[in-house]
Amino acid sequence: MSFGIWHEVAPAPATKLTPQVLCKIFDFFKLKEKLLVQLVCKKWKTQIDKNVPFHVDLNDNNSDLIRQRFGTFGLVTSITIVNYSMPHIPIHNLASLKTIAVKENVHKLAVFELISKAISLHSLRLYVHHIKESVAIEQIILFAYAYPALQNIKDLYIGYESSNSSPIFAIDKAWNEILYAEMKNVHRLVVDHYLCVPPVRGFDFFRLAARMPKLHDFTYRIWSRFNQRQPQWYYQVPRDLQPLTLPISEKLANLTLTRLTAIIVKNDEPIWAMILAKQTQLQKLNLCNKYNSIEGFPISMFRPVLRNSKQSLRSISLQIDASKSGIIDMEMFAGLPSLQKLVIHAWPIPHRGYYNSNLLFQALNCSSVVSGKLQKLIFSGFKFYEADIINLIKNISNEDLGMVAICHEYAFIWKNFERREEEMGIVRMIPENKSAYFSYFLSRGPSAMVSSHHNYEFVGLSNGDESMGSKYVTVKSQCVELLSRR
Amino acid sequence: MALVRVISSDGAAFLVSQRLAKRSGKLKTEIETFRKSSDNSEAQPEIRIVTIRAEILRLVLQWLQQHQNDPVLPANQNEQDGRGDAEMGQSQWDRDFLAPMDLGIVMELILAANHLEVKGLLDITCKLVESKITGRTVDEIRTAFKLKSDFKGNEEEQTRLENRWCVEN
Repeated sequence: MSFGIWHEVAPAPATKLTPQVLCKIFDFFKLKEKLLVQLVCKKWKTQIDKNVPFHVDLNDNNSDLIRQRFGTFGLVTSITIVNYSMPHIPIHNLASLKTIAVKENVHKLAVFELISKAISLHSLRLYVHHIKESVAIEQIILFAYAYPALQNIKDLYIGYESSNSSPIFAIDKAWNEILYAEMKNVHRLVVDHYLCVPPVRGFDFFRLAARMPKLHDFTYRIWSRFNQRQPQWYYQVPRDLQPLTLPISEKLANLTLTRLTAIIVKNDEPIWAMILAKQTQLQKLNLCNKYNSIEGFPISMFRPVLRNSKQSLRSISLQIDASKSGIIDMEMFAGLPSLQKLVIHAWPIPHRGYYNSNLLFQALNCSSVVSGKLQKLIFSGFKFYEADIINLIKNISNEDLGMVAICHEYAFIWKNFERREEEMGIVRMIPENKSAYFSYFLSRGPSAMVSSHHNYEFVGLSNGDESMGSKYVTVKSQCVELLSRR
Repeated sequence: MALVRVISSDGAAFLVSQRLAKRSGKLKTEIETFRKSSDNSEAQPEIRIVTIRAEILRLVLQWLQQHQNDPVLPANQNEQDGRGDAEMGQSQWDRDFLAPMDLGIVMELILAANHLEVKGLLDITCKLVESKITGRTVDEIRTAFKLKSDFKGNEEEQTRLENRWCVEN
């Protein structure tokens, strides 16, 4: 290739940059720089005002500037701020917003005012916090008022916290009466419903999801915090719950989901059974049946998914009720050609000394499960003997399997939604002629680990032991990732 | 090997393989248009780029040659994805490639990459400009980019007041 002759010509000034290119450059900036370059010249200011999307996280703990300005609860402290003190942030260019929506009665309209103007908003992360009944209805009406702006949203997160003073069924009713149209562009919906009072239910997000014809990534989680003595997922059947109408049920069943994360509670089981039975394109499935009113894992609900989405399933994570499910039929995971990751997690963690050998032996006898493309096989919440672990590794014939993890008896305590891991140690063993390795988490601490597992390659400890060096951070992150799957 | 002659605004000709040229969206379209309109399938296309001078065109082709085996990024990829590409896709070669360039050359390279639809090059050059702006004052930015304030009256002061809460902290 010839590169020709070098000609010395004066460089083109920045004024020749097209609006499209300017926007591309400006979009790399953070909020502060975006506002700063407005001052350079009129052309730049115009481009910023008109075309550059803003991504605002008003709850970001690192955004001291914003917190100083707006307080802990973001811009909701004052509607005045929205209308008069932030005129320089072109709301119509707001592309993503992360904020806590409501704090008691304080200027409750602010967020919805903001959303109603943010016509380019494509990502909204909204945490509705401690609202009162009188406020709640009004806010749903405002949400409906902001509805045209919501039409562009592709990614919607709603974190919802019910409190003693919020009869949530009233909100549900208001929502269903007012927000009747479809949200046509939402393809990802994540709902975290934090229950602070039993036994009421929040927005019926099944109804919301049914209005999203393009939805393919659906996460629906219910969290309990009203009784810390109960398991985290403790849940009671709510009162005043209206059954879904047939059209809504059909719409839900017709969604073509590729990713689904759900906590199945007894009351919702028929809905999930219907949704699951219809899915044919699922790639990632994360199910949890943490509730105290069912006998064992609802296998009958689960089998149709394995059959219908056989070709597409890449990742399965199941959280089973260890107190009810003695044996997991591992054969049902065989014959999934695309499966790369299988996680089975037992909860609650069996009492010390309780030995559930059945699960392990089922796994050992199911070589087809660890064939194909499976790269990660993880069991957690069970207690195994060392001999069983070694046998498990020996029985793995799949060269692609990169990780087998057995996690057990690690203690963690939930307190205000923060995990505290205790005394977790990790060892890794690389068997001869095997690509697989094995992680073993114990609660007994590092010294016991090293002395009793001297044949293993000791790779590190978690629990904040910085002295172990940075290479252990990777291992720890795997543990954290694992825990986050629950 | 099928070749194409690419001619810069100042008349310098570059003979490059069509495979390489087609990594530019603009050149690909031009080559395909030429093929459809030409009776002779063996004829060598000649494409004149009237907006890009030789020095800059040479740099674009040099970058394309280095990245000829990279996956072609769609031009309409959204900005958030693009941001990721720019940060993650920049190799040591890219950094060495861009290091000696002054801002004027980079500006021209941006315009050329945009015109020729070479997304990867556009991403890394835009990112470079962003890095040259971040941390500078308004006056320093104006000097670096050879721009003058064209605000009238108290427009600039007004904007400055509006942004004070964020910018001056």
